[in-house]
Amino acid sequence: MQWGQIKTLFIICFLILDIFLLQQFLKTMDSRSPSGDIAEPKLEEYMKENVKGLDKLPEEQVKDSFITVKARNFTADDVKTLKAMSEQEVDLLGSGNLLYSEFKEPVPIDPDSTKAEKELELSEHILSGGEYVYWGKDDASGALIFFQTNNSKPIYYSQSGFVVAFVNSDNEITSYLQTAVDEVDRQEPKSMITAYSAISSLFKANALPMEDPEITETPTVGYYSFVDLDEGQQVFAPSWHFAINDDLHYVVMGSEGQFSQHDNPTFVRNTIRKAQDGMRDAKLSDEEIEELQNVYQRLLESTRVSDEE
Amino acid sequence: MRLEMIKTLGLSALIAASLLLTLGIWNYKPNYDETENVESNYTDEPLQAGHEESKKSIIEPSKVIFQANGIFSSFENRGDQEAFYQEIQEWSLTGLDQGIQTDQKLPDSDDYSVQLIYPLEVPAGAIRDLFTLEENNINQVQRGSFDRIFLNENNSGTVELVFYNTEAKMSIHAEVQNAGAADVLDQYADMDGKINYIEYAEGAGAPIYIPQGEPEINDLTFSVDTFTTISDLDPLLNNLFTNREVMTSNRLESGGTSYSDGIRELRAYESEKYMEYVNPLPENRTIEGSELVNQTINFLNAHRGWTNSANDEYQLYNVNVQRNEVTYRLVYNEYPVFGQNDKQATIQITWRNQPYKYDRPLFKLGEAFDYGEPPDLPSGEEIAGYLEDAKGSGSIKDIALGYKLVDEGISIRLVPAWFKQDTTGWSELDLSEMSGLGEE
Repeated sequence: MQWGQIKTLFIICFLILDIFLLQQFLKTMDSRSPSGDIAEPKLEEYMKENVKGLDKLPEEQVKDSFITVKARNFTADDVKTLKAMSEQEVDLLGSGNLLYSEFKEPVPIDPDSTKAEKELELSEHILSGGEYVYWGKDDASGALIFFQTNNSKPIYYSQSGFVVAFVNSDNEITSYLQTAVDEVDRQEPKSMITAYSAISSLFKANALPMEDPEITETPTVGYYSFVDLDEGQQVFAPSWHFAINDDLHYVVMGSEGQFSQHDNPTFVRNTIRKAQDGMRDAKLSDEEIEELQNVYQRLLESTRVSDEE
Repeated sequence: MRLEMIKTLGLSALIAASLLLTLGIWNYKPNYDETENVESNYTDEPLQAGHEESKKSIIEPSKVIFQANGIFSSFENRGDQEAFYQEIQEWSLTGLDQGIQTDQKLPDSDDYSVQLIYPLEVPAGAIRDLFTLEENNINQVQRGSFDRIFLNENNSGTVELVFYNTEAKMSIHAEVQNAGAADVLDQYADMDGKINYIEYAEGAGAPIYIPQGEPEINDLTFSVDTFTTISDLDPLLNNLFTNREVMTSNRLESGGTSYSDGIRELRAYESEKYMEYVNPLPENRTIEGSELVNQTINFLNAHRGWTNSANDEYQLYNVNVQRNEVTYRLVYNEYPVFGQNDKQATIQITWRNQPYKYDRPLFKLGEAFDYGEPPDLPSGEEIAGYLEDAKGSGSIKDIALGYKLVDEGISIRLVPAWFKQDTTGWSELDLSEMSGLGEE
């Protein structure tokens, strides 16, 4: 009889203990799970109401690699090859990793032509033209922007892998600036955050414009680096590109969601500044320097037109 | 009998369940998706040169001023200041529930016997870490801050503390519970070996205290242990870079090395002996000042980022809540050190849940091997005179003796000098403005 009573007592004790433990267990599950943020669902609702074009987001899980690259130095042979392609005046700037060239005969380019047509036209006149994709136009100066690709994906807004073609009022390319990188190493592909969580991190950080943000192009995967070095090796991380309201560009890192904002006019201006800086180290005569200085000054001014309006 | 059987089964089931749940709690690991894990995985590997610190020893007053019959004084032996501060930190406080009082006048010199002057506005939340609180009623004063603490023994023999903000003219009152508190005050007040201080109260702000006579502090030269190589920095790199295998390093034209994974960058400057790190995290909501201090101290403790030696230490010198920025300054023998390049003398962190920016010295002071003569500095009286005459001295909040850090390559020299604090922060007092004073 006594043992029976002890058992009842034990049952009650363990019942209480189990309830307590269960409660603890649920608590740890909640606090440690990454989706423990209660505000999240609300934010998602809010984003769905505010951001247009969310249906453009690709849904699949994408994998891509971090790449390590090195700036390509253009050689005298490259210049020869270039001159054989079409008549142009070539200057190597910086330590030889920035190429500036003026066409003797401006190359006409139809502003209404397709992306592929522009790429084809350009590839007939520049080195490794096939590696570059048409990115867009700087509306202020009319310059055309091409990004170098790696594994056929663009390297976004890098001063180390681009072609900027300057266009005159008759829609002819008069001159261009070019840099390129070569791949040194490539990591194992890793899964990236989805396009959806990439746009969420932009939304959460209040980085999108207040009024009617709309995703105007299907987001694509490419490479990006926050650290733009002229020399040595640098790492580019797989990342998502979003075009918002046509001319605002965001690049979101595919690994952790850090992002940066870009626009085409600023990018073109920075390439011209890079050319100005590059003159210092280049082996040029005083006359050439003076001439180039005037050219770049004019180009810089052309990019500022829209700023003053 | 049948009932007993059911009870036995039920009890066994309950015991089994409790065991399972216990194991569950111990071993539960969420299956983080690799890609969704935004937090970096901090490892426990520490910096060789460093150690851990507590909030108590990081938040310290720059001056401790005793007052008796209108005469101001402080310890000549700087070690006594530290000892005194440690002693009063043992106290437990009550009465914070009265909250923050606004529009308060600065206590008169009759109303206190000791005042502690801090080099920054300390968030009031830190009171909980500096002292023991009887009841946890810090919430009532959480939004406040203070840059001075006035200590006074009242008629009933207990000690009262007034946390005062000289800018906002707000105060927080507290009472010490410990019976021996008044004795501690008396003991240190009566202690021999004090130097007198001049009170300069003409400025717009709170009075400034300047030690009388010519400063007797030596010009010192130290051997220096740097940790700028990749193996020295290894713990830090592990700590800051989630993705070590993709990290590359590049020599910088300016001398030094840049480590980057395409997102974050750490630049270690070898000859300049400091580093800069940036992780481009998006803007974060601002967090409360004392929380900012907590989190940055925890971050530094995690990799033992306090790389000071026996006689020097890092102290909290600035908190900027708007920018989520915290500065810890090197302090030698209770005298603050200011660098010509201030990155050599401060650990500065901008916090966005993780470090967004982290700039710090990459050296540790070794043995002082050259004790130079005290330089010919203007006396406290001359400085007070300068305050009297100089234009624009109204904006000066404090004047203190400190060291100017001079980097001599393989050694570091600390040169004593006068420094002033104004709205832009601390800078060396321009002695050329004082021509006509001194011997020159």
